[in-house]
Amino acid sequence: MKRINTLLMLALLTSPIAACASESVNHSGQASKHSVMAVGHSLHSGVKVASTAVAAPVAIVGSASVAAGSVLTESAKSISYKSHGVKSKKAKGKAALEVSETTVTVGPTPNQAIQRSSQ
Amino acid sequence: MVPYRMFFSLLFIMLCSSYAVAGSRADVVAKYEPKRIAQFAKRVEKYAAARGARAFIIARLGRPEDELPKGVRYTHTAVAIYSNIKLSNGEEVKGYAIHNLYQLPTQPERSYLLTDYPMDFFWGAQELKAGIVIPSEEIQSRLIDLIDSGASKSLHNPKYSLISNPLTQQYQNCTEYTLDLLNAAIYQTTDIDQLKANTSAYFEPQKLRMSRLKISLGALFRKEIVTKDHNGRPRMATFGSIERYLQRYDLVQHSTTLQESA
Repeated sequence: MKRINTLLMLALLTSPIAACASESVNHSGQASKHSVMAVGHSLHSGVKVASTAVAAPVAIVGSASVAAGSVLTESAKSISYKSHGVKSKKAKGKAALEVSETTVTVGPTPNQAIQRSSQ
Repeated sequence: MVPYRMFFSLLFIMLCSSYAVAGSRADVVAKYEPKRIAQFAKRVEKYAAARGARAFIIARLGRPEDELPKGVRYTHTAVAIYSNIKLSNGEEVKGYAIHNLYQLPTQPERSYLLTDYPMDFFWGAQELKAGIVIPSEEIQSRLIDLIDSGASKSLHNPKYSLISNPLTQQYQNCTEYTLDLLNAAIYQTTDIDQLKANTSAYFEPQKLRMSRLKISLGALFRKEIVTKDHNGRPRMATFGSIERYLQRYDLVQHSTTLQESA
């Protein structure tokens, strides 16, 4: 029994390694998220959620991509959020980019989509 | 015989519970209210957008911070690209798409590539905290080209190890993939032999500060923990080591930690 206890202790020691440098778990295809968020509708307090079809990088930032100062008002120094250890250079004078207020998510996994559509 | 059966049963339960904490289950309940996650995710997007970032390195905390080994601040790292996002309803919006390497839920020792969005990225976070490194404009442009052209996919190695050695090609995790993308952008090549030679010469990995016993036992019981690509103490790519690497060669425009206050 002593040996078993020793082995159990050793086994317990292994679990922290799961918290190592890299935990690459995908949260995007989870049924719970999609059922909670009800894609296409609003989360409470006006957070609009939409699922995506495709995303393409914006390679050239022209005037159309620049929101006239609207997002500049969003700062990490806002009272609700804090920022630590800011290291910055050449950041001044950078043109801000426009970001939609819509919260975008990937759609459900194919099997979840099939289940949902057949319900 | 019975005690050994008991041992293996308990061991199985413990390892399963450890997976549950890591979020490898297909259906994980978020720690935070969806509204809070959405607000935080949008703040991160706006923070990067306000600085004109078209591409940046993003990291999240998928584990309680006090469980992480010393020197490790985040558990998942990826590349965010400013994008035109076409929604399923036909509408087009602008925001960040995040290019990830994820473990397969059913085969944790294998990985796949997935593009998701900040809300997805932070869904299972244990803390609403984001690591942000905005590289120089030149690196940003090259990262965008690399991903837009699809050349980034050739750098993916589906053999996953939680503690993969970034100096070798045998295994890869999300952070090593991010480092490979950055180096491909820096050196403008996807020749992995060349990239690993350069990584060995200039990148300083983070030493895993954990007892050898724990590491060996982890490798014994979990398929996604592999030590055979390491000589001696494992060393890994982490968000912090990538940040230091870019800073050392003057390739960082801006870096910060963004956190929801208590």
